[in-house]
Amino acid sequence: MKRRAFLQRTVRGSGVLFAGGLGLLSWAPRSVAATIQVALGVHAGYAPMVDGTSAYMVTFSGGSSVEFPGPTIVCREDDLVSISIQNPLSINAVFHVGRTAIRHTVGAGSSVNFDFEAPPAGTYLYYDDQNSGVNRSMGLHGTLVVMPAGSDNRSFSDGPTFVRQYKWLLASVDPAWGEHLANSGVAAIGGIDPDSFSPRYFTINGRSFDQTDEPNTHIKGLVGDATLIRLLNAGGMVNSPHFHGNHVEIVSLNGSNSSGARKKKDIVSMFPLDCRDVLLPMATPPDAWPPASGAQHFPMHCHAEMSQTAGGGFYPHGMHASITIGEAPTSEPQLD
Amino acid sequence: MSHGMDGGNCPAGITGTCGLHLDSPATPGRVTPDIEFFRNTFMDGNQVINGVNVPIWGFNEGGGMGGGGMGGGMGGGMGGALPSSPIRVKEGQIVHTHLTTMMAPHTIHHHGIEPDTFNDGVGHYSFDVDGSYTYQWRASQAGTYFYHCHLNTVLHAEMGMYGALIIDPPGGPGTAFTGGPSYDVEAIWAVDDIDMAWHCLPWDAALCGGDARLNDFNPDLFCINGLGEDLTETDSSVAITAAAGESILLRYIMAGYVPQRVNFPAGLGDVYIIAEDGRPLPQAQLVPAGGSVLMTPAERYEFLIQPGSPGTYPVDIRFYDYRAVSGALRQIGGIRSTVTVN
Ligand SMILES: [Cu+2]
Ligand SMILES: [Cu+2]
Repeated sequence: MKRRAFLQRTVRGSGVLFAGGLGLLSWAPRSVAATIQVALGVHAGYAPMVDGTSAYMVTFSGGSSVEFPGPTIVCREDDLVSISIQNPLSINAVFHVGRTAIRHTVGAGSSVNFDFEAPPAGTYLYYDDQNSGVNRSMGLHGTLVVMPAGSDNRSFSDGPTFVRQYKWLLASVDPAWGEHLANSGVAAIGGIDPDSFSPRYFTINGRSFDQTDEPNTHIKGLVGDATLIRLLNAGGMVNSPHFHGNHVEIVSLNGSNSSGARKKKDIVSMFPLDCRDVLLPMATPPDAWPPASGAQHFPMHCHAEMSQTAGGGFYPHGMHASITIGEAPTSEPQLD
Repeated sequence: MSHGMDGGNCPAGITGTCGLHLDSPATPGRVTPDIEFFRNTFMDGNQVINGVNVPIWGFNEGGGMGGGGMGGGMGGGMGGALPSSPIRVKEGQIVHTHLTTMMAPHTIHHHGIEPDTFNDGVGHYSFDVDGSYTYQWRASQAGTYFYHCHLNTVLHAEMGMYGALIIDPPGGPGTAFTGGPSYDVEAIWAVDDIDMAWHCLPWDAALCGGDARLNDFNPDLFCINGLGEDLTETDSSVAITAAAGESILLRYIMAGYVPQRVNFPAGLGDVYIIAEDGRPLPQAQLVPAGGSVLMTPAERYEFLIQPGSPGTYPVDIRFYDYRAVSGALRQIGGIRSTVTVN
């Protein structure tokens, strides 16, 4: 058994920083591996949408009510991740880490505890894989980030260095599915046809534009501050994030790391379950004339433009977040 | 400027300006350009695509009817054509794109071009053009791009407000980019999907909220450069003709909203992707003979094709529903063109 420090992972409702900043501590370099303890609950309830409505969702949460998306789990290679899940609902829930064999079932009205060794450094979606993607699309998902041991500025041991990193967890929400569960009970989830999905809300880190204008989602940096963005698609549609201002370099694609010359894209294809890490060079916009001076502000938005709506219109209050080139963030981003 | 004209007997009128920043400012740091383009908007177009009369909006070349030319739409009726005519410049040139909005405000976003915020054409970060504006930018990298309106984009791009944008290397056409491969034959395909249920909505549909079902896209018509499947296999503006031994550069602009897969027939031999999204690949990427490439909205691919033997080869493009909860893509349509090797 490896020697590990013990880090209590305190999780909480969305919108607040982790108590004591332990999220940051868990990916800062440290001399010994640790046990990262995470307590999750499975909850159903209403989550607010950008147009003032709410959608009934089922989620993993660190608190006692619905939390969309679920908490980000951050660890490093060699860590042991120790998870406890309480499930008060009347349906089984599954905790599965994509691209791994890690999969545990939490029976209805019961709880489980399990440990797993951190998988190789990278970005992973954890989710409930039941019902052909329906449970995941209802909100049962979150992010697992594994940092390389001994590094806080690369996403894998010989990857490119970054100044700061962000996570953009994409999702799409069909409130009609939620209403069905609210009216018929969560057990009705098994009867939902995955092909009946008709999303009306489109989110990054659980938020639609312009509620994405918060420190963990609005990307900022000084010119030259290379920025790693971990993109995940937990939703039920094919997304096509488009970067204005700078092309990005594709660093990792579903666990396949690019160590040499990297492909540059202004579109990053995101099929359901995809995890793609990209590097935003935070360069002065190359086609500006005269050369740009002062902070420059750009959107990143999905180009499957249906995702730019909320409730059938209200453009551009969808899967859209801002990028500011030439201005440091006032508070450093967390991966939460 | 007159608001509220009909487009294809559909009301294109403007009632609300929620979240918009209407303006027609002077261009900051304006210099004499190396090349310039004039684009006027229209919202009263009609184009027959595979026998269907489609109400369209777009950009005309200033002072007259648009359409025609390489990569430009053919068969446009009153108003203008889908797609709008191409913008083609050389790497290093300072470009002016003069936009004059008729009927209602619009913008031009040069997609893949990275100018400063003021010239990026995104109203929420700068302004929406009500009147006229001259976008100023400098072409830094040869490649395949496009331009489109970025106001209520979900609707305006669907209505046809887009056109090809090509940057040639300093020496002009014939070479894809500096240090890149040369080509003998060039084709530009802008491949789009159309949901007729969206083509009779006003300019500001649901811009202030409300439900115009702009989240629900079910294309029933497909086109390449604005031509439907009745013409794409034969019309010389799409179908490619080359002599054996010639190199073909196919600039593919994914102009739709749902995933597309382009399938190259084995008879064409190996195909190479030499650039994506206006950037040369670090290494050309092989699409083995008979292979295919799956794309998502607004990607661009530069395919180098070097067919060995004479024949007519079909290139099939398939479209899939964007909703894929289970991960499986469901095909919803297709269109075909051809490469004829003499
Ligand atoms: Cu427009
Ligand atoms: Cu675009």
